[in-house]
Amino acid sequence: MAKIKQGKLQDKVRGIYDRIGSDFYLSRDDFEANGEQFNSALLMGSLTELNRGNMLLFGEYGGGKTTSAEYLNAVFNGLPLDLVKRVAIRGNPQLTEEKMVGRPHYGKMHQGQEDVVWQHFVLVGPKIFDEFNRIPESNQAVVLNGVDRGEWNYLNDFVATGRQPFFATCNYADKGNNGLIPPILDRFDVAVESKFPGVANALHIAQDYHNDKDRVLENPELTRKALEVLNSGKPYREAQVELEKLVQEHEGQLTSQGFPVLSREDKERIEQEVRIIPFDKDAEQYFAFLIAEMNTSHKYGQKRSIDNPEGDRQQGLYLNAAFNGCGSRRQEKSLVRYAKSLAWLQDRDEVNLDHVTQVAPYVLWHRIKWTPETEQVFRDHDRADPSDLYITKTLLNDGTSEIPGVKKRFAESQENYQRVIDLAAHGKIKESAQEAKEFYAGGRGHPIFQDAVRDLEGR
Amino acid sequence: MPNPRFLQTAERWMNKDVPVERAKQKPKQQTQTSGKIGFPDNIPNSFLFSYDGQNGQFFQELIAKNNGAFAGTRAEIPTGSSGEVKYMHIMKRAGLITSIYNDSQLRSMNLYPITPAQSEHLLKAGNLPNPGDNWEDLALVLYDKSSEGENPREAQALYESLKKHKQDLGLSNSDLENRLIIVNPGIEKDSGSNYGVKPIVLPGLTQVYTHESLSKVGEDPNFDGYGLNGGLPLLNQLGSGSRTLYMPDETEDIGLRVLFRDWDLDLSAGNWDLADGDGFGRVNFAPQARAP
Repeated sequence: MAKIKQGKLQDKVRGIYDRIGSDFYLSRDDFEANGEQFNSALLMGSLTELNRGNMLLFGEYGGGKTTSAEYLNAVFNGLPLDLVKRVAIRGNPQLTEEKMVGRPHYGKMHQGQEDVVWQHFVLVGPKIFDEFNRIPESNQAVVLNGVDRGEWNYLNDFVATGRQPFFATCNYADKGNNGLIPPILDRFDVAVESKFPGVANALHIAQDYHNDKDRVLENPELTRKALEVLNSGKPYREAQVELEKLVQEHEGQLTSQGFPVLSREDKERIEQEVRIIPFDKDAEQYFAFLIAEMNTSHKYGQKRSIDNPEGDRQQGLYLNAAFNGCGSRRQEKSLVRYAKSLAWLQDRDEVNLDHVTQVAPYVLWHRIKWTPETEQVFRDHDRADPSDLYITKTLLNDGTSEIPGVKKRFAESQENYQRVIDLAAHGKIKESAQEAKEFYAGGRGHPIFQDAVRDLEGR
Repeated sequence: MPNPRFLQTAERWMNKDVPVERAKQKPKQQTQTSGKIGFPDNIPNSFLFSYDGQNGQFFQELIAKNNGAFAGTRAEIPTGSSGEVKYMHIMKRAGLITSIYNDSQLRSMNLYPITPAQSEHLLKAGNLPNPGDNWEDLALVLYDKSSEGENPREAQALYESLKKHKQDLGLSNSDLENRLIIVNPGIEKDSGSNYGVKPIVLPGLTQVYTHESLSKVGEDPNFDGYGLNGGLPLLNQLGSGSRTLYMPDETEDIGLRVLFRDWDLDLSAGNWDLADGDGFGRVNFAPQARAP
């Protein structure tokens, strides 16, 4: 990674990223934005920490999925690594809401009183759910509802924790796991694959067979104290105040060992700085084209999961004909948050096209179900990513000679779209609508023109 | 009533100037294909460029996009609703090729005008639609870029484009000085040209090669059979036969010419008018092999 100005919060975050990448989660770079190289799992994980998002980690057994999440949660949040591991949930089909979220206070229950004992998973902010797809869908929904809203309900009680970073790991499909249904997948802001780190890194990792390197991040004494607080039955806010003191103590130890740490104030400032970064025009217009292709349908009025996408194929090879289902407002919010966070990390004043086009595949690939026809086109391609991610990256950028990508179509139609925009902005509404209709060409033009016509004609 | 959020967004994105009329718009920036399109010599059939029929929707869109890009030039194509598109010539053909090249939507249909070699193979197989009723401009022939030759401005422009893309085209410096057949040329606007456009190379689509029969300038040899190699008969086919290869009368300062097939099934590599569009000019289209 390139050097940046000293004293900025970006410097601290890059310091954490670099330290995890060089000492703990050894990996290869597989992501590039504005000429800078990153490892996608580590980068998206860092951005997940910054904007308190939800991230899904795919990968093979022992491929570092859980490990990377544990390091990220420990270092970004000043938590002892052993505590992070202790409060993570390991998925299995028998997990119930009582084991994950909260359970009745059995002592009080025998006295005829109703009270809830919240599980550590709920009480500690940053969360990891290991092997998430081993639990049934109904329980996946319970966890994600809590994570999404930052509110956890059990019996008649609830705890409001606010949004916190959440990592869920999934092995690729086997007999022991369940699928993740689209509404569940849509709750995850981004998904990445924890990849094979290369032979040299693997040799290095193998030598550390007792994970001795982790000792520097662990603190058994503080972990024991933290567990005492968590088991104390104190009200949530009171317990959080005590945990915060332990965090500060651990952060002091990390600092003394050369780790950059982010204070609560740092994180709040980062969130404010990220929020105010605007999109530049190209980035936002590309985003508009992407939304149009994912949500509109010439044949069915709008794209729906119950309609056959092949129906739009006659209109041309837009994204809407290439996948089942449709876009969602959640995924658009995810893209904005992560693109802004990356722009912030790169110390840019604006989110540019590269930020959006590079982040978007990681926001979308787990949410999109490509049609068999689309998969067939890419079946024999050489690739470095999982198939769905590879297809998504390709079709959101330039595409192939057979299926042009969104970025290619954006480049071709942006000038015409700008005309529609300019005419509308100069008060020539009828002319703008007329040109948008012409550019739409009865369904063969870009769907964004159809959408513009509807906005201009108020229908 | 327009959606106020659309108008707010438009105001944020707007340019200060009101857009000019579309005819005055600058041509769209070119985008390149990601790979070379394959044009196998032997194809099963072709169909005529028409306003309607099986591919009418594609052709209508193609005409609209061509005319959007080349309005006011000799490459503009008359609009219509039915029947074959008449008055076609090499500049209009190049406009169509350019429009397909620049538009992923059109490209995705994988339909292109046939090559000279494909035309001869189809003719031999009896699969060229009504060749006795029409003629077809098939390619450009760059004999030289002499200022005394035909179309010197266009010849120079094409030469510069060939030079620029010689690596893509697999041409050496000495190849550039040979007589060259240019298949699938593109065009771009040129207000200084009598045609309003000038020919250019479209990397990945334009094909350029030499042919031994181009040495036969100053003659109009008869030939037997078909021009199955590059669209022209080989030297050993020349001498006698029922077909004629019409070549430029000049032997030097020849300039840029057109290769076409006429309704007597003769071939000519000597027409000097790049926009010679009478009512019999047609374009054959065919599906082509996709890029590897």
